[in-house]
Order: sequence, then structure tokens, then C-alpha cells
Amino acid sequence: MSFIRWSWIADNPDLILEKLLQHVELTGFALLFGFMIAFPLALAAIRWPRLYAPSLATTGVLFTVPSLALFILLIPFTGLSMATSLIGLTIYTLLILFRNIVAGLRGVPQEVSEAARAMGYSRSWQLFSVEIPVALPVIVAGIRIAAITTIGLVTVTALIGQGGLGQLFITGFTLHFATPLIVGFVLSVLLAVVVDLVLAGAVWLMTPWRRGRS
Amino acid sequence: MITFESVSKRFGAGPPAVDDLSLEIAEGELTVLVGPSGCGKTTSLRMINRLEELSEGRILVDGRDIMATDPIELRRGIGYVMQSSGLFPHRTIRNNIGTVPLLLGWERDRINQRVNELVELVGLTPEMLDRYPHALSGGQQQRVGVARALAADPPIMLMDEPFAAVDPIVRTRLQDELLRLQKRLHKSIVFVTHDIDEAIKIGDRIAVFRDGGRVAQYASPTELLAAPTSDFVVDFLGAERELRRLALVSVSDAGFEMGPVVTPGDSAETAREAAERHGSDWVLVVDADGRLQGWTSLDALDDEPVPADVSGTFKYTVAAGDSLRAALNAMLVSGIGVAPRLAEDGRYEGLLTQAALNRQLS
Repeated sequence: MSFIRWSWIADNPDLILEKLLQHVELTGFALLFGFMIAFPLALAAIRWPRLYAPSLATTGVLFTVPSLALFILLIPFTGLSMATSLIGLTIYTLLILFRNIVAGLRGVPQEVSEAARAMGYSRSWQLFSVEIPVALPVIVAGIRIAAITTIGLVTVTALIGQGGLGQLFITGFTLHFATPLIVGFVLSVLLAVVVDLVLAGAVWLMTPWRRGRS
Repeated sequence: MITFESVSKRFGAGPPAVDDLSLEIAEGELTVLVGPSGCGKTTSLRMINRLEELSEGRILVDGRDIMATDPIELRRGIGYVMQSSGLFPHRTIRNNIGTVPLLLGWERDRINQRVNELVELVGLTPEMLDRYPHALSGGQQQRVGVARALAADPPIMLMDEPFAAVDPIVRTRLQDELLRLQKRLHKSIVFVTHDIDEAIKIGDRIAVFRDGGRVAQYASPTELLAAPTSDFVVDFLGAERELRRLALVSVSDAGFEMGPVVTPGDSAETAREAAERHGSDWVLVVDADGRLQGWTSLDALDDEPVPADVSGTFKYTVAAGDSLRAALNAMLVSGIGVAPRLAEDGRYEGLLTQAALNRQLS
């Protein structure tokens, strides 16, 4: 018996594609929602430094909850739905995103912010046209880590009926049949690599000012 | 004109950073705030464009209370240069310089035209415009900082130790260029430094701050050096106060004398008489064209006529525009304690002696 049965792949392209797209969808939305929560939280923690420690502690504790336990805890509220999966996945992105956005904005040289203020920028315009662009590499670095973590975690949500490529693991496991397992594994690793490279490329394109820097 | 009326600034509960400061900063002049660190000079500067809000008193800019002006509007109308250039790392030099015009809503063409003018003005080259700040040296970054502050042609410029972080050679050049710029632009500049030499060199007027945000003396550089009003100012001006005064006076302001001048071929007797009249044991040798050849002692003449090439030469000479400090330097190395003064065409004009310097300092 050969290790992988190619005919299974040939017979099930639609299934594989569907799971891949679901995987991308779950990852994308989790990152989007995570960013939508972490970003204002980070701005608040910069504006009111007192908020930083409790925010970090909260997102940190959430991050340590075992993923399977978290999904099971959510089932009574949201059932075996995509919402359950997304809520869990979003929660796991918060710590990484929050920490990197704060670190990025805090890393903006003080004289740069000061210069913007002295030139007559309004507070919000200073944030969006000076501080965020300068902090972008650190912020995107956070998104990259969060994306890779989430792509891995999505497979766990197969246990609550979601899971994208993770469902191929379950299929393989219940049928004692390695091919779907290997396909799911290879594709999720490839997805992580591709997403990471795309984000790295995007930040390279967006920050011409960092090139050629020693 | 910028007027401080009994301005105080407190940070928290401690003693005030600036205490009851009253100061008039004249229009079109370069006013230096100088003093030891922690004396409140930077805080005073930063209150003018409301980077720091004052606690008590009033600051008027052209008669208008700055507290009645929107801080963002106020800042856009006042140029600001800081110690570390504070350039935006993610923007090209062109866009850095065009920052304030863009905020003011100028059209793209007008901004570009203005940026091109400014690049020339501050001594940068147009090729630099499309680079990013990290590709420039510290001195070049400061020039961009100055260009950025000048971009919208504000009548007032605030400069917070702008040259403190560059090496001494570049600093001297930047100071010279600021003076050259100021001659053309006549901005009202408030310049903070802790370096008294810089203050004396560039300031039209100098406010010497002392601890606790009080002004110990507010005067022109020559006044300050000639008549310091307190021990604090004397100490701050340092042990070389007289030398610094000499640096501010030009050779043309001091008297000079002809000195014992002889021509090559003159007899030893003529040389001896000239030296005696002057009370020296040496004579200067000036040829028929009025060129100074050097000096010779009477002993070295040995009763022979004055030769064309003499052993004593002057390493330095001075001209009308040089400072008396340069004249003193020339005296120190001349071997006979005098500094020859030459006209623009190189002809000998006369001698500066130490007595002439003493008269200037007394």
C-alpha cells in the first residue's frame, strides 16, 4: 500500500478546495475581528498608560486558556457554529496583536511625534499619518505571528464541526486513511507559509523608507 | 514681537521650572536663551508655541495672547527646529520639507516650487529630495530640519539646541549659515543653547537664564561681556570672558600705529633711529611696493644695511575685518608681540600692539 493515494485527491478537488477556503475565511475573519478589538484597546492603553497592565493581563490570561476547553465552554452559548469558532480564534489573536500594536506605537521615536506636534498636526492626524506608518513594521510583524498561530488553531475547531482543513484530519482519522490527513497537513503548512510571505511582501512594499538601511 | 508677561510654569508640586519671566523678544532679531541645564530655557521656548502650556502670566505674539489662538493654528505659523532633527523617517526629504505647506492645504505645484527654493537656501542638493532621512548625515538632517521649519515662511522660528548634536566642525558651518540666512530673511528667531560661545556668536540679544527659570541678564553680546551684572553671569561667561570680548570686536575698531618701518637698503643707522623712536630693538621691513617682508632685530643687522630678506617672518597678519582675538593670536606667535595689519590689496597698513587691545577692553 502506498503512503498516499493520489486518486483520492483527484476524486475530491471540490472538497479540498472548500475546506481550504473555509480555513482562509476563518483565519481572515479572526484576524480582522482581533485587530478591530486590539487596535482601539492599544490606542487606549497608549493614551491612558494605566490601562496597559490590565489589558495585557486580560489578553494574556485568555491566551493561556486551552483552546479545546475554550471552544467547549462556548458551545452552550453559540452552539456548533462558525460563531463559536470565530469567537475563540479571535480571542487568541488579541494578546499578540495588542502587544505588537502597543510596542510599535511606543517605538515611534519621541522626537518624531514631538516634531509632528510642533508642526501643527492634530492629534488624530498625527496618529494616522505619522505614528502608525512609522510603527507599521512592528504592527505587521504582530499580524504575521497572529496569522500563523491562527492558521494552526483553525484545525482544532474541526472538533466543533468547523475547522477548514482540520476536517480532513478527522476524515482521515475516522476512516483510518492517511491521504486526507496528509493533504490537510501539507495545505495548512503551505497556507501559513504563503500568508507569512504575502504579509512580509506587503510590509516591504509599504515601507520603502526602510530599504538600504544599515 | 514676542512678549512674556510674568510667565510661570510649574510641573507638578515642585519649584517652578519658569518663575515670573518677563521678556521682550524683538522682531527680526535672533534672541538666544542660554543657561545651564534645568534652567527653564527650553520650557520657555516651548511655551511660545504651546508645546507646554503656561501656568501663570501671558505670552503675546504680535500683541495677541497665544492662549486665545488655537494651538494647532499657532504652531503652523511658527517654525520649529529641534535638537535631533525629528524628521519623519517614512517620508522623503521633499515631503518632510513640505510638511507644513501640505497641512496648510497648499497645492502640489506650489509646495514643490517652495521645496526646490528651500533646498538651495539651506545648502542641500536637489538629488537629496527623493531620499529618506536615514540616508543623510546628521548635519544634512539638521539642514532639512531648518528647511522644514522655514517652509511656510513663518515670521517666527523657534530653535531648540538645533546644532548641539552635530560635530564641532559641522556646527560652526551651520551657525555661519544660519547667520547668513538670517541676514536675508530677518526672522524673529528664538534660539536655545547651553553653549555660551554659540550664544555670543549668533545672538543679537542674549537672555542668560539661571536655575529656577529666572533671567539673570538680558543684553547684547558685547554688553553682556563688558558689563555682566551679577556673579552668576560672570561665572557663566567663564574664565575667558575677555577673550570672548575680543572675538566680538573687529580690528578696524582698534587703533594702530605705523611702527618702526624701514626699507631694504636703508642703513643700519636709519634702522637704529626708527627703533629708538618706537622704543623697540627691532624694525619692520617693508619694500618699496608697500609689501611687508618681515622684521629684524638691530643686533642681527650687525651694522650692515637692511637686507631684502630678513629672518623674522610673520606667521599671521590681520585685516580690518578680522577680530581682535585673531590679532591677539597673531601677536602671540609673532615673536615680537605685535600683529601687522594689511590692507585688502596686501599692503602694509600698520601695527596692532597689546596696548591697543588693552584700550579696547578697558
